[in-house]
Amino acid sequence: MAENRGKPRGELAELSAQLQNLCTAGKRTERELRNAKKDVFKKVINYMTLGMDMSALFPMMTSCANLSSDDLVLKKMLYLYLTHYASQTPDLALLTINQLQKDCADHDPMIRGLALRSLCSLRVANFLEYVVTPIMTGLSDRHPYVRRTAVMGVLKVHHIDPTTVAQQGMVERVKRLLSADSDVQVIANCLSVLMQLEPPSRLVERAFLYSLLNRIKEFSDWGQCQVLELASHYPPSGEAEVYDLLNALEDRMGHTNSAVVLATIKVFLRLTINMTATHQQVLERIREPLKTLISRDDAATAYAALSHVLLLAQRAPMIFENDATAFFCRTHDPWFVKKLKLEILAAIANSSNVYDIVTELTEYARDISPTMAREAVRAVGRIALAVPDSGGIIERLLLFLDAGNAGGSSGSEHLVSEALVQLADVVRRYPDTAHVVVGALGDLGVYGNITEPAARASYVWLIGQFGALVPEAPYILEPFVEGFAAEEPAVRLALLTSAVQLFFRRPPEARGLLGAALAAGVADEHMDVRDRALMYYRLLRADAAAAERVIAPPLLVVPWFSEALSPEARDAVFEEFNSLSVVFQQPSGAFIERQAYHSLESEPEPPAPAATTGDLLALEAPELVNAQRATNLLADADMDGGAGGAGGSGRDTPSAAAAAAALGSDLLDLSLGPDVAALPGASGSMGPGGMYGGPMPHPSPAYTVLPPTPQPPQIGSLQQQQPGQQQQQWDMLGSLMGPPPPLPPPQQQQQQHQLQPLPQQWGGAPPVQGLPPHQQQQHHMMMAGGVGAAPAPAAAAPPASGAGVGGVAMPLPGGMAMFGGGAGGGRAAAAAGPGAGVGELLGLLDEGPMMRGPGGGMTMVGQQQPQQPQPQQQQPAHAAPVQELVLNSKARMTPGSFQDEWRRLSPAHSASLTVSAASVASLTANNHRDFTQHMAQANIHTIASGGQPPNFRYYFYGQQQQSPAAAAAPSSAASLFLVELLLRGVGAAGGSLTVTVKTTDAARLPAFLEIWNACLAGYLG
Amino acid sequence: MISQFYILSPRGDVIIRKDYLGDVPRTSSETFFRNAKFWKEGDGEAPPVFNVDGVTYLHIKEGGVQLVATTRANLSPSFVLEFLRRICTIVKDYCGFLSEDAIRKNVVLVYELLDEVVDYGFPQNTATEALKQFVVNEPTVVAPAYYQAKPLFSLSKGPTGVFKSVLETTRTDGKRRDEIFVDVVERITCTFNASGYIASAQVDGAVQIKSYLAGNPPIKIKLNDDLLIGKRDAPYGVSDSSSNGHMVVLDDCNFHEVANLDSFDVDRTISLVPPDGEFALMNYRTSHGFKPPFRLQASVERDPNSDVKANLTLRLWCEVPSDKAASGLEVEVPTPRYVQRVHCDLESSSAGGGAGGG
Repeated sequence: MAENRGKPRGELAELSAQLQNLCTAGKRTERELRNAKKDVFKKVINYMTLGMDMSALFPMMTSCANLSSDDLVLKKMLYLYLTHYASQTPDLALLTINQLQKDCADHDPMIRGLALRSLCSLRVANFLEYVVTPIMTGLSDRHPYVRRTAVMGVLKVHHIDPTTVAQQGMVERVKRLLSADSDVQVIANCLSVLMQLEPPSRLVERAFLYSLLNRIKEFSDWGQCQVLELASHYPPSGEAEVYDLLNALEDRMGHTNSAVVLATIKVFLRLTINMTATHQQVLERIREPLKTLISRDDAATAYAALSHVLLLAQRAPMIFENDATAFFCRTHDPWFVKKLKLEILAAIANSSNVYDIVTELTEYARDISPTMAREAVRAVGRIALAVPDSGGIIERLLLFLDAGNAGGSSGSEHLVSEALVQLADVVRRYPDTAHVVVGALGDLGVYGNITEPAARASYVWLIGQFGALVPEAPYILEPFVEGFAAEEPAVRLALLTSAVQLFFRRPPEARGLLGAALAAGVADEHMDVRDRALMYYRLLRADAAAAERVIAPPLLVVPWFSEALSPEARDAVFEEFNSLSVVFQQPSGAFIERQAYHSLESEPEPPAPAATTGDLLALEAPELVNAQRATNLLADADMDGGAGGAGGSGRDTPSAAAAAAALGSDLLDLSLGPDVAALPGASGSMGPGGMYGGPMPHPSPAYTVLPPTPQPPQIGSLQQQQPGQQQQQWDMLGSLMGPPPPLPPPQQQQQQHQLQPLPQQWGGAPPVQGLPPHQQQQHHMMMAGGVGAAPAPAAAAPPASGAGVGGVAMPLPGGMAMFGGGAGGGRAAAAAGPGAGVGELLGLLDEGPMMRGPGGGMTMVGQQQPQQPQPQQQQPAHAAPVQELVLNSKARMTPGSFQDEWRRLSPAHSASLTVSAASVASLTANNHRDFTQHMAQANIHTIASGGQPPNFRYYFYGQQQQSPAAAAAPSSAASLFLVELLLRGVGAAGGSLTVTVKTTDAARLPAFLEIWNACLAGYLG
Repeated sequence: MISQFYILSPRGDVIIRKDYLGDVPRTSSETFFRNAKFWKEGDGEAPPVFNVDGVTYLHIKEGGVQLVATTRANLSPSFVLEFLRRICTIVKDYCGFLSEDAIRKNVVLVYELLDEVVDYGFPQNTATEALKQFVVNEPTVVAPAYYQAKPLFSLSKGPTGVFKSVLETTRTDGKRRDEIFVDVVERITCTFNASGYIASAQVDGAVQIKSYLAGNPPIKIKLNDDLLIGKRDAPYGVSDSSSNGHMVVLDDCNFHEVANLDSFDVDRTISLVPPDGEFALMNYRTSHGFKPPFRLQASVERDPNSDVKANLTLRLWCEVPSDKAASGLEVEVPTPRYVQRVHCDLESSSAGGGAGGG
């Protein structure tokens, strides 16, 4: 198929012609025609799967299928095609809505279900109004097939627009179905949907759960899993009820589907978690089913089951202690299964089975795969550490050393290396075995044969630590020291320590060695090595006795080695039994990164260079067609306001947030200097700030502990303040300096807005001027420093209309971008950024768990919208003196009407400007989303954007917000502004922007242009 | 739930693609293929579940193609993997065979099946039987290009070499054949020690059924009377292999949902209405005193004539009566990496077969 990819154009044209041809019957019989159509449709679907863009065939596909609308095969293929491309070509998909709706009322339940499923899967927000009614009808359809499809439709709608679901009371309908429906698949779907929408613990209710459990055998395997998942959240009322439930579910353990068995096990474990004796019985009971699951031939499901066995074996090793043979590896097991089995064997080893297990592991050490052999040796080492009676095991480990000796350089180095590493640990655990271990080391010839740094370091450490037991110890280490510089840092460090230890144990022989090692160490270029060498040297020179106590004390016994996973984390994993956490051996927080649903829908498909000629628009504005095809970011009209929360949290990438926090913490370090220690306290009082999710202009403790020294700390402290506070400072600055700065009043208003949610902070005094006097005093003081630090930007910033405090923050742009950005995004959701950012940052410094306020995800949003154009709308008198203009935040426009208007209107204004390469990059960043969202902040919505580097095109529209009175009057239509933005990137030199504006209301054009320019300038910075 | 599902050819081409939740980028199939192909740990084979950039990939391999599900949720891995397995079976039932070629020839049918089986990432009814009423496409049955000798130790292949679509059972043109295939497939794992005695042994068996009976008549299957199911009949370790004499003792077994076990405890009869297509009626496992069909003795000796040679002698006895013939017997001898050359001699008494190594 690869050759096909190279010439999509040819294929597309050919298919297009074929479809055109098939729209008319010609001389063919109906039957021939249909077969021909099916063949072409199949081809289209094949290409679609390959990732070729077939959306250009939309009209032909639709009409072809509609002409023989009774053909189910064609219909199914059409709907498949439709659901794939609808979100890219919503205007064309609109044409098929009618047919879909008609099919939703078909007499055949199969067609009703099919049409409903396709209709719900279009994933175009604008179509929701057409989807709601069929879903509501479908929920009460008489055929279960339609009902279950409608239930899934509710979830689909919910992911696109939760408010619709709430308004229509869909969830309540689903709940009613859940308790009343007779069909198990409908119930299962209701359950799946509801468990996505609310926590299962809120759904589970005794009578209802019992009715489900009584019918559990009627459910499909997958439905049973859902029911069992629900049951695992049931809080039993007493022991009697627990036994009832266990007995009722007992036979689920013998199910062939491992998913059902594991779900049952989860229920059993959860129910009995507080009943020790019964819990033990349950553990015994689940052993055999688990063993059956892991001995399946299907490696994938066996792997999933084994992960759970490992978890259980680590918690309660005794249940599997007599089953060691069940976990012996088979030759044809894949490595990941073998690895898990080795871990299980190491976990369940105890004094009764250790001999069998170690004997078996010794065999694996001869595996032809070096990885497996090493794992086996490592497992033996772990068992030696865990099982007290370890004499025999250590002998096994020593045998691996012999394997290396016997074979010379015969490919067993990996065994010797691993054995050395393990032995070093074993000796620290059982020092009295040292003489046995060290005795075997003597003639190992590690220097020439073993290359692995870890093994060399272990060897050197052993020789140094037990130098008294090895007569020739100094001479063994000599060649190592001679080649000091060639060793890895870990080996060099071990050499230094060992040389000193040997020196204390056998001074005369080791003096030369020590001198050479220290000399080489001091001259070393690796910082740790040099530091250690210097420290040893100075310590030895200052006080040899102290040096001995520090460097060569009697060996400390290490009673236990820390596990890879803390007990808390392990409990968290157990809580998430039967989930991916168990496979990854991490709590889900460590690997789950949520993304908003359908946020990645409009990923660019490979663009189709062939524009369709049939398209009317192609004559007028061909690029619009292309732009739409290419990426088609259909503007989400509900992007503003509360909906921003959902979208924003999806875009948040923890790494970026962490990077920002880290950057901020650098700044804090910088500014606080010695006072960093005050921060843990600060985090305590500032943490809640993050939790409130609003910018809180309360005095930051970090800022109060600052010494009153001049410039740098003051700048730093400025950085830390919440944005609202900064604005107050500028206010204050204004009153101090006499003439009021040209700070636009809207910011004051915004400030008010920010203060209001937090009356308790300010003693219930919302107006700005109502600050308690002492607070004002403090701000005054701060102001002096602030003025000294950055007076110039303060004067420069305000004139740029809409430039928020972000622009002021020149001294340290990095940190400011974070806080200033939040200051700009004055909306409730976006403004949560800085608060949460600080909370996170302090949480980080505190080394506690990352604190995430409700607005935690918004940090990024704040950054992306560093400017706040809203003031202009709120204070139109200042922003647009000519003609009042407020843009409608809820403006809606279909691509069709946009195209009509664009054709109809003539350009009213055009301009071009050059932009830097960085601006080009920022415009196109994140698939243009940052930019278009920024514009949407100003209620300038994006209808389409796209193109191919270096040229991009954006189409925007804005609509005048009408007062209710004006809207009532039929004569006055809201004025409309359409903008085309053409970006021509010219590589590193930057690019040019060409703006064309069309409008229905020339009088308000200047006002619009002002908003537009401010907004654009705000983004380009 | 599942965000995406796709089937990849051995070269990484996407043959089937469904996107459900839209929270995983479209390019994830390439990410998957790149990671699965160049897995760094172990022997280079990617584990069935792995996570890259917050997206979890669950996959199984069957018939040369890979079935992959992606998700961002913390799902049950068994649930997804079993579901992928189920999709394999459904494709096999309807297309007769699972391979890249078979899927490419039946793309539309597979999409149609997927549409019914998964809605928005949630598994729906996956019974082959129930799906029949929703399927309108005709299968193009593709038999494998060559009849591949079935490896002896393989449970998953199911009833031997039947490549037939379940949609055949609805044919009315007189060519229909009502057939049912019942296979008992056992996988025996034995370890022999150096002196030829059994160190450990286990049998994993399954009763596999592939049914093409029109109208789904009820059938009964009777097992040996002397069958004893350890944990089921004598729970909590009362019974022991020693006390059971000549009984056939199973450690554990499980039955398919369709099995009616009402009279199983009385006379070991399972009555069932076999659904269309392939399923495992029963899985069982035992490690109790059975006689393996083969015995093996191995010894390694230094070659007296050379320092760098060793002789490995394998003696394989077959305990199966001489009137039964085994086919597809393979002997595999893994050798360490540093082995340069292998030479294989067969004694004159034995016929056929071969050995490999290197």
